[in-house]
Amino acid sequence: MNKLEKLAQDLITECQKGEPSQTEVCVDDVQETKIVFEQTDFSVSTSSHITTFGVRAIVDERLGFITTNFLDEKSIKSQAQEVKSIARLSPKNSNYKVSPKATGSHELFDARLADLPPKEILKYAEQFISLCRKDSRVLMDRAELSILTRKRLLINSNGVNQQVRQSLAHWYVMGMATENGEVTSFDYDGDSSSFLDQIENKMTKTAETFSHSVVGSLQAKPGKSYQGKVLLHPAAVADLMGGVIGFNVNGRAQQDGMSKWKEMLGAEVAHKMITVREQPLDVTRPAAWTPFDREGVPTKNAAVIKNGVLKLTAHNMFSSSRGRTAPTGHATGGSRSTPGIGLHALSFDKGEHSLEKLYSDLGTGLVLKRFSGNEDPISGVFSGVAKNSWWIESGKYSHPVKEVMLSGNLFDLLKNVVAAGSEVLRQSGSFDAPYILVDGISVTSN
Amino acid sequence: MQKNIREDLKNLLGKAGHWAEARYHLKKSHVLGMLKGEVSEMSSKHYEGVGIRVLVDGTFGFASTGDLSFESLQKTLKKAEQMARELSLRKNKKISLAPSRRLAQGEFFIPGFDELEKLSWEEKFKLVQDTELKLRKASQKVETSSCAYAEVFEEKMILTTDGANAHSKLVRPEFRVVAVAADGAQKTRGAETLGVTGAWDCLFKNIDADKMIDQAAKNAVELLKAQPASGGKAKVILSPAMVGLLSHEAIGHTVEADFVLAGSVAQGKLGEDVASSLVTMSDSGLSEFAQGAGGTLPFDDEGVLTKRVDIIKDGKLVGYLHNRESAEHFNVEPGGNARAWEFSDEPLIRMRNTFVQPGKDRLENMIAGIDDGYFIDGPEGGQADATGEFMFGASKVRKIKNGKLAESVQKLTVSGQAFEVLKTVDAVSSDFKWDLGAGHCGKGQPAKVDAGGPYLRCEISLGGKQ
Repeated sequence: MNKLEKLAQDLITECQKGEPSQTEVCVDDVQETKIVFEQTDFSVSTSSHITTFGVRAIVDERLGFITTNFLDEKSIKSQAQEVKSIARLSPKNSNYKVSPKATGSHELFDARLADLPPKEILKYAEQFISLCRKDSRVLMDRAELSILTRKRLLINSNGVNQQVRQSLAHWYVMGMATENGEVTSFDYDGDSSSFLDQIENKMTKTAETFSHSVVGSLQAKPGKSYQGKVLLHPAAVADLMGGVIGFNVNGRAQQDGMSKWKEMLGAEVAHKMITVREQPLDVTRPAAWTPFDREGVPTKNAAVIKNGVLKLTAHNMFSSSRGRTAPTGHATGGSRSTPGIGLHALSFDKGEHSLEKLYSDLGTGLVLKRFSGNEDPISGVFSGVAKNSWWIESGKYSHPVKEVMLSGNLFDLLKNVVAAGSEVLRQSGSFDAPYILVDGISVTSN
Repeated sequence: MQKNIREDLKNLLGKAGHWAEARYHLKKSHVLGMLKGEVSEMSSKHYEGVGIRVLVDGTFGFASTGDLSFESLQKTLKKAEQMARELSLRKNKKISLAPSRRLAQGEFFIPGFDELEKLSWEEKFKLVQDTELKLRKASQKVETSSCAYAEVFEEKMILTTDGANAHSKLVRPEFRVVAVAADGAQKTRGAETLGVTGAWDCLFKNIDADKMIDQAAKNAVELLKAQPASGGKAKVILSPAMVGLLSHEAIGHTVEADFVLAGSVAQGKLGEDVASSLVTMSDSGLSEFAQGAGGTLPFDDEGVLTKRVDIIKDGKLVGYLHNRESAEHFNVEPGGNARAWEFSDEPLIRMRNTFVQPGKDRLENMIAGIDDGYFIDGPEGGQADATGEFMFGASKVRKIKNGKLAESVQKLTVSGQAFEVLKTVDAVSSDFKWDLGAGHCGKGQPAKVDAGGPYLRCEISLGGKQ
């Protein structure tokens, strides 16, 4: 048993004293080295090692939670007292529960990556930045490369002992392009890898995609106002469709009357062309890889929507107890928050159409890449601005757009699917989707 | 706070041999929430540690630790030095910091800390419980109700080798109510939020919990029957909250000096007319014109005393927001805009309280001057671009017809190019309100900010039905 595990176990034992309680301790231990580049130069290099403990105690069906970044043998007693005293203030609720026994030790770890010295990390950062700036029209705002070793330990009084260790390189870039005095909208991109030998290829792809997006936004012009079809880039599918699905499959949102999909399991909520899967065990998406959830419940790959029919309600322990059903492994969050509910790694299935065919089916109209706006997952109303997006005229690429706004309803969007692309593209390393052509959107251009 | 930390930090920096900054930061927060009759959150959070930044060979290195022993602080300083040395080999332009005559020294306690510490959990929780219950019963159409109260107690100590040695304490409480109304399958959401720097007398100075309940429920119910607005350019009145969002998102970000250097639309525009001459806009660490602004802080995370920084004066762009590095580049005095979210974060250029100064017009006359337009309130987040193009959502929008407020319309997005919109301002009310104190600004790290101002009349693009 390592030091953190012993502290966590001792804390559970201390909480059990005096009065029966269910206790859970979630420990996050993260070591990070980060290199930051701003505009034209490196700006700072940072190093941190942070350990945080999240302690949840359920005393006589009453819930308390504390989090702290400092715990030693001397403070265990006072932390146990604090979390129990908070719990005593809370009203009773028989649905507060910690998860049933499950154990496991999981790794996605490459020691060569985790132990990379700062000098080597700098070389990779330099390489990434030089790739991003290969086209001299690119203006960098900020880029970061972080190398992390993250560990999570989840222990509870029912015998849960789940542990995970992961090495992770994570990078992102944000910037614009400029030419002849024109400056484009900013865009950003990023990805991650748990293995050193994958970094170079993945970074190259990130840099190319980013550069292509911002340079492609030069010489933007207005489009035209209309109501009708819009072709969603996979990034826009993530923004618009991913968000509304994630909110409405939430078991607690359904129970509390906030989700429109209450009691709609098995019902049609999207066009039959739409199949969406949850893939938390996909190791090719290391930033989204989640072998067990925030409460220690093992996760599994599952269909969320199949051929338009709702197949999943996501639960944590609270909502599953309230709904008299089993937890689904969708407790989210970290040691600094109580468990929420959410999906981990979404994938939309591909369709049948080439991009050329989708352009042709769109005819004349907008291809939306980045949606900058507001979405209300309760009413479904969305309204915002198209960024890094482009215009199609008579089935052919015409020009990048600016000052184009769009609005519609997210629930209608899921049903008004016209066609889907035959290629799935990964967004920011964690979300998979093809281009999707939808109808019924209001587009306003100045 | 551990008793000897200030002395330890002083001793540590005394041995540095180069410029260094040590920042002790304690954040203790409490969150209490009720959702539809059940506890949604009942938690206490404690996050404490020291961040050390050094300038070695013209390069910044930063390291942090949650272990406050002197041995750990020494290791952290060495780690920061190592990070700086490694990076310096690849740094093109060596950093120098603007000297400041305004480095903070002494004790800075913003009122409210002790009062809120003394207020019992029971009293705070009772407010949350009672409010959620009343909201649930406010209308038969209200299907779901929630209420949350959060308070963050912050204690900071900043020492730098060139003279800052300051200690601050402040508290930021927030209160939020959300109603979801339903009519058949249709659902809508109404919300009211408050956030200040100070105690409850400050938090509830303009509106009490009962009034918030009425407004959230009313807004959610009215949205059930609201129709979409017509898309396109429109004459509008922006509420103080929307003016705050416009100031923050559309202008504030583009004048952050790091963003200016990256090529934002504000680059090279100092001295130019960028707004109507009725517009004067500033960012301040102080709570100007009204008490309790949510982004108030006595000194920033480089130890610089905060002050008001004018951004636009009588329509002309007159200033950018700086840290000590960018202030040196632009040869100006830093105004205290370097902020770090937690001890483990390095300081970035951020806003504090951003606002438009009040004018001389009366709101009734401003509305009366619009035949066909909108009254826009209820900000729901927003973003700005390097180009100055911005968008933000609005949840409380009413038509203005023939000079009078008319029916509510659905939530919408307003958009435009910041400077172009500000040039259309033709009336500025004499009111002033901070109204964006709940929530956070995001820029890699969160930051607690506030924004506000008077009512403005201008032209803006609305996303709506075609």
